Amino acid sequence: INLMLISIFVQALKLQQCLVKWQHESPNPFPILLMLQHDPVYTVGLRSSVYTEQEESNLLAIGADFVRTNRGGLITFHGPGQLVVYPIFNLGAMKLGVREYVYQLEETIINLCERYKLHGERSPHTGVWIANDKICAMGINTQRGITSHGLALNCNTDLKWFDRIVPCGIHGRGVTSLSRELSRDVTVENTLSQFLRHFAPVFGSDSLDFND
Amino acid sequence: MMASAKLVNLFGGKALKTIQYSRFGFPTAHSITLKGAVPQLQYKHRTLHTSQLKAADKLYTKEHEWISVENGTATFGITHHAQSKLGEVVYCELPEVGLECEKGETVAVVESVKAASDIYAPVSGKVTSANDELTSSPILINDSAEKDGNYINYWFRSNNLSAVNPFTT
Repeated sequence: INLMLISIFVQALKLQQCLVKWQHESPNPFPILLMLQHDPVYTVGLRSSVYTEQEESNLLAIGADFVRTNRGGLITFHGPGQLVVYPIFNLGAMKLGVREYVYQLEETIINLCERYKLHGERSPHTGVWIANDKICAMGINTQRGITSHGLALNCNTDLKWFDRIVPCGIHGRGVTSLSRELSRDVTVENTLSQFLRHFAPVFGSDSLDFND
Repeated sequence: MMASAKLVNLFGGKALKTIQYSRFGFPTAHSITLKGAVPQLQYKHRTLHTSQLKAADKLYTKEHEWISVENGTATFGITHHAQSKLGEVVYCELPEVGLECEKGETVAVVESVKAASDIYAPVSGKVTSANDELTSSPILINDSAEKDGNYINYWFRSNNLSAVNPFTT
C-alpha cells in the first residue's frame, strides 16, 4: 500500500481513474491507498441531477470548486483540515462485496474514534456519526470490482463550509470534527498515522509502505 | 463427486424440466431455494460448446448477472448473490432504449450504501426496453433479483448464441 499527498480534487479524480485502469489491467497489481487533503470543493455523486446549476453557481460564488463525480452518495464538502482517503482496491481479489467493504471502512473510523475516546456509530446512513453529527463521510465507486473515491474524515476542517449545504442530503443532522469533539486542535498530520494503524488490521494487511 | 450425488436425487422432480442437464458440460449446484413445496435449482455451469438453447433458459455470467433468452430477445438482471453483496439499492440508472452496446460495456449503474457500482452488458445487443419500475422502486433489485428486478430487454444482433458465451462455472 502506497500513499501520496496531493491537493487539487480534479487532478485526484484523474489519478484515481488511471489507477483503477491500472489495477484492472496490470498483471501485478497491488492495493493502493491515496491519502490527501483538498482545496475547498463541493462534490456531488451519481444522483447529481438533484443539484441544480443555480445551486452550483451559488457554491462557486463563495470560493469553492464544484465537481460532479460518479461516486455514490449526495453532496459533501472537502477542504483543508479534512483527511480524505481513496483506497484503490480490487474487491474481487480481496473477496469483498461492496457492502462489506463499506462496512469495513466504517469499522476503521469507528476504531479510530475509539482511540480518541469518542463513540463513533453507524446509522442507516453510510458514514460514521458521533451522536447526531457526522464526523466521516463516505462515497464509493466500483468498476469491475475496483474501488475509487472513499472517505473523508473531519480533523480540524472549518465546519462552516457545511452550513451552505445539506450534507449528503440528510436533513436534521449535523457535522462535526475530531477537533470539535475533543476541544483541541487535531490536524490531518496528527491523524494520519493513527488512521493507518487502524486501517491495516481491518483490511488484513500487516505492513504498509510509505511513498511521498 | 458430492455435487453430482445431490443433483441425482433431485432430478425427476418436475421443477427441473427446463434444465437440459445432459446437453451441457459439468453442471455444479450453486444453491437450492425452496419456494413452497417446489424445489428450484439455480445453477452455474461450464460449457465447451453451445447448442440450441431452450426458450427462457437462464444463464449466468462471471459478474453475477443472469440472462434469459426467448425468441431472440434477452432479458437480464443481477443475481440474488449480487444484490446481497451490494446491500440495499437506493438508485438505479438504466440505459436508454435504442442504446447499442458491446458485451462487457457498462450499461447501467446502481447505488447502494453510498457506493455506485457499474453493471455490464453480458451480451452485445440493442436495448429494446428498460424496466422503469426499477427507477421508481430500486428495492425490487434486492427483493426479487431474479424475477421482477430484471433490468432490460435486449434484442440480439444475431441468433447465433455461440457468439455470446456468458457462461460461467
